[in-house]
Amino acid sequence: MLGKLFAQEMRALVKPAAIMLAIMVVAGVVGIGCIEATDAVSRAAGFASRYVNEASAASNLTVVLVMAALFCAFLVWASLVAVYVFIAMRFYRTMFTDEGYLTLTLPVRTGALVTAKFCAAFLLAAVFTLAACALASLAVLAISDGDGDMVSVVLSLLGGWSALTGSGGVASSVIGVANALVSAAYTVGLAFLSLTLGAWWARRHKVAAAVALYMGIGWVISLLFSIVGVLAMMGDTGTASFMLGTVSVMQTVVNLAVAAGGVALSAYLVRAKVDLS
Amino acid sequence: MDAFVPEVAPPPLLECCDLTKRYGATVALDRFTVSLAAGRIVGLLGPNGSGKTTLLKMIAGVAHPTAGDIRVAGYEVGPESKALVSYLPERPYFSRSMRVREMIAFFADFYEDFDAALARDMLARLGVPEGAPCAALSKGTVEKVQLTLVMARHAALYLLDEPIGGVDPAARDYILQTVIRAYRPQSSIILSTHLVRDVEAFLDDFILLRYGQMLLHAPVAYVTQGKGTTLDAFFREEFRC
Repeated sequence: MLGKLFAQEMRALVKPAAIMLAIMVVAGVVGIGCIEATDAVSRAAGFASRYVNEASAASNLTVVLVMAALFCAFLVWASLVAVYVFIAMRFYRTMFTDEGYLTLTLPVRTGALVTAKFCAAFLLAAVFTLAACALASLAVLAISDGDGDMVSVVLSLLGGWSALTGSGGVASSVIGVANALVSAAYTVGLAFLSLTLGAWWARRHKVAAAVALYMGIGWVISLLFSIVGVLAMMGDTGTASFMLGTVSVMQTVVNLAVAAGGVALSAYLVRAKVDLS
Repeated sequence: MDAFVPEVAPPPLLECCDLTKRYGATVALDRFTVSLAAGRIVGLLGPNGSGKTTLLKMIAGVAHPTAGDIRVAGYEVGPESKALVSYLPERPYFSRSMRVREMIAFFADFYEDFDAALARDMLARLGVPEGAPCAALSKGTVEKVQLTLVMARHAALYLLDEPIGGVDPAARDYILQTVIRAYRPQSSIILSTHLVRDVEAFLDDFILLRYGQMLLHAPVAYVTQGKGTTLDAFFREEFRC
């Protein structure tokens, strides 16, 4: 039954997600093109510097290209955010609005229902995360004139484990991307839990309650790890580096626990507590 | 010597025991107890706010009792009971982007007792194109499609929440005919309504609810033969404002 539920969920998600992914990729490619073009225009401006008018035009064009690249970067970011909003909206709509009457009367275990939704949502979020990482890598390559080490350094920052593995290198890049995927799972799991808690607790404005819960829980977790991080940095340089790496690993474990716990608790609340209005 | 095998009666199709539902201080359903055998068409009658919808929602598994117990063919509310219950809520539950053929495929995918050929036949007679998205259909047509899909299941227990409320007389006839055609002796139908006159000819039993409490559970003959009046007149007398 889990397979059927997953397939049903994917059928509903794929089409809108494909459109969002296309927007993301096109924006990313155009943005990278703008970065490359900025480089070319700067070089051309160097040759034209003897002629004031041409140099000024090149400078204006550079500004336009930089602005376009920034706008494209914003679009890539917005697409990434939009897919999470879309996932959360679909979860809420199919579970706690009128469509819930169809979903929650299916002869399946609630655990299977929520797990299938999580798996489909995570798969989607993972594809978008990987696409964003790939576009970021290409953008770094374009900015750094093809310096592959810079890409490794940037990707390893996603993990925050570089203190343990050393920044740069394939291993730290892979860990960085893996950590970004864990963050995607955390975001989806916490969103499901917040929406379920909102549907259960709030009499009115359930979505607003869910957003407040999501931000509140996320803020508390971040605050705790910030405090632990600051405490970890208080030792000598070698120890601090090791401690920071350890804190990052702990955060990854907590993110995974929040994702798994969010799914399990959501399933329990839907099965035993949440009433459809 | 033959071993003595005691005859075990099958569990009632629906059993509710001291079922209570509270929303804060409001008691929507108060210690509701009923046992329902297979093969009955039961009218769940009562004015607005009497707890009809709450009761059906709890049996269907979309609301949870504050206290008490529900069993469908011996099963607690869960996947096993949901496989036996075909529930028509009073609101449309399909996504507006879903096409009719996708709705049929959805039901066929998840309900083993769903008769897709019967559903297609009924929809064809209604003149609903399978390629039409839900958003392109009128509210009345969506309700008919939903009813068709619900009644095209060979379920043990049908829960129909206000199926004839707010529809025109022609649609009302279609709905009632669909319900009657789908009726099989091994299944039961619970139909909630306050339009008693339209349904009383089809009912075997009725349950009267007021302020979440059961006033009466009896065969329709109790009123028609015992009191020499119609169920509609009895209902109006009981709930006179």
